[in-house]
Amino acid sequence: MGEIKVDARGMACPGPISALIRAYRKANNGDTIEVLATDPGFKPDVQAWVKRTGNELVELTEEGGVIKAVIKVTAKK
Amino acid sequence: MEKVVIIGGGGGGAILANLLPEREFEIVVVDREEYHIFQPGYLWIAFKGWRKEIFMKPIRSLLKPHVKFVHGEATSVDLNERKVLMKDGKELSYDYIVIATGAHLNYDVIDGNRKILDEFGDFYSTVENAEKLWNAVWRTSKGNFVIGVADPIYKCPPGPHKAAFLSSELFSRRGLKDKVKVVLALPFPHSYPSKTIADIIEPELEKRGIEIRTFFTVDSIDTENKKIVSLEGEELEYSVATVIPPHEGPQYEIKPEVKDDNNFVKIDKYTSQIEGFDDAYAIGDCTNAPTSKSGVTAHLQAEVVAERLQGYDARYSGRTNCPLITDGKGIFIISDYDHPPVPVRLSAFKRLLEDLFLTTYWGAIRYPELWQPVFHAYFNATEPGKLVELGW
Amino acid sequence: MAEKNIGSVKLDRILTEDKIEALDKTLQLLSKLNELGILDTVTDILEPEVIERAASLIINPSTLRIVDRIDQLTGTLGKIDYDTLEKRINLLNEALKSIPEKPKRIGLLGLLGELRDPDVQRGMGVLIELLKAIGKAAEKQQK
Repeated sequence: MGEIKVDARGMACPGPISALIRAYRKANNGDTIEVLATDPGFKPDVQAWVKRTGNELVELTEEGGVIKAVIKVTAKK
Repeated sequence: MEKVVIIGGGGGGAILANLLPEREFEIVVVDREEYHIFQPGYLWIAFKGWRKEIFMKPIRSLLKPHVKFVHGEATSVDLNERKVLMKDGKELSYDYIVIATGAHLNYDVIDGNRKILDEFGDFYSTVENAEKLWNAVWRTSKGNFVIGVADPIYKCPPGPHKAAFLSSELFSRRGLKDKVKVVLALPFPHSYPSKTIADIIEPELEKRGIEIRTFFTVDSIDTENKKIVSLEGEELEYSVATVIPPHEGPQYEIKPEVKDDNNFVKIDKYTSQIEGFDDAYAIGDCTNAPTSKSGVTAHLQAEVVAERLQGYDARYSGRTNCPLITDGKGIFIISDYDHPPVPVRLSAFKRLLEDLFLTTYWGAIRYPELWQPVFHAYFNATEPGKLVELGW
Repeated sequence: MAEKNIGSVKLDRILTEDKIEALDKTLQLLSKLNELGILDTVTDILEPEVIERAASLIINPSTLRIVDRIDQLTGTLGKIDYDTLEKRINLLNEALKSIPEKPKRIGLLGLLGELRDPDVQRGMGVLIELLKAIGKAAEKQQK
């Protein structure tokens, strides 16, 4: 399935969550979206987003100031 | 003398043209439109009924006399051959090119988006559509006025919020506060992409009875039943609706392929250089720069390119300064590549600054060298790094 | 030739009696300003370098923070009892001057010792009144 990489490191407002949602629009069920971000606000945002949209958060790690989130797209209609 | 061709005479292109020294460069600005529009004015036309003439000036009048203006449409840019092909068949060769044509709003992605644009107008495309929206809003006396967003990357991130505040004020003044509900539907987890800002403006939205729908990315519009459906599977009814469509980069051909999969021109986010070229730049809404698409961005990037063309190592910090106005107060959303938005206090003074900015706009485009020191002092005084400690 | 005629027709329409008077007065003012050298001064001020210096003096983090709160500031400054402030300003100046860079630590015994000093005793008199007033005001604020 497709792997979409989103590099949102050093992104000013509107920030990484916007980059994720934009990538999501074009994704299909089965795809994975990997997002890299330096905005600390992204961590709670991505968790809230997967919860609300019903997608799967496969990985959420933080190393050296970079947050990595891997989402499996499952909830698209 | 080196020849600089700037495609686009908007907030980025016009300032850049006026910043370049006459002695060093032959400067050509190309635009398919005759008029330069102060785009935040769409809000004033649509929700305050102001005349469109206030916000329009001929591009020729905004450019210094030595700058050449070509009123025409570019159809193809060849970065290797250094040529711009025009619709009328003419060719423009260049030593340096700057692409500043803004974002293309695609109303044909979302079902029904073009239909509601034709029916109600909007505050994102043209002065005519803004006037149409004023009429549509004025005709409304009950139901929901929905402001929706189809894609999270759109110019002027606080645009929908300003529309919500201004329209709410309008309905209030008409005594329709309890009859018409303003609904702000956004794709984000909070009422603003940045939670810091959302925490500041949410109480203001709630105070005015504006309904906030989060996680709502417009996917289709059922114009028969007057319903908007989201990607997340929810529905919203409307009496009047305006949906900000997905944005794309330049529609004309650029050779070789330098656009990303949203058609935005790929640039170095600091220098505005188009990836792979040292004589080609792009500024403003047409690029893939990871910052807000806004006038401030275009302006600051124009300054950077002007410096770089003269041989200075200037870089853009990603600085944003988006004004978010309620009716009486305002804040600025201040961030850059190294700082997410900092908390800023809602104040009457900031709201005043927004009005004052409108009065200085045309002068700032025509005489950027005089206004630069003032803006620089402001940007230096309000650097996100400083504001985190001091607050504003 | 035709352009010149159109121009003079436009001027004729604009230059009504009252406007001619206003124009005349404006020109008189400009003439005076020119004589005084003010027009030259203003032109010289409108240089990017001068504007830059003036701008950084006027626009900086300190001034922006104050100006942002101008409505609060004027409200608060307006509430100050200036008659009292004027009378007591010397006392306040002396009080501020008296604060040492490195204050000594004084415990209970030290305090009892200092209370033998007539200046300290008088200061205590002031302090007690101050405490009473603050106590009353604090109670008022709680209600």
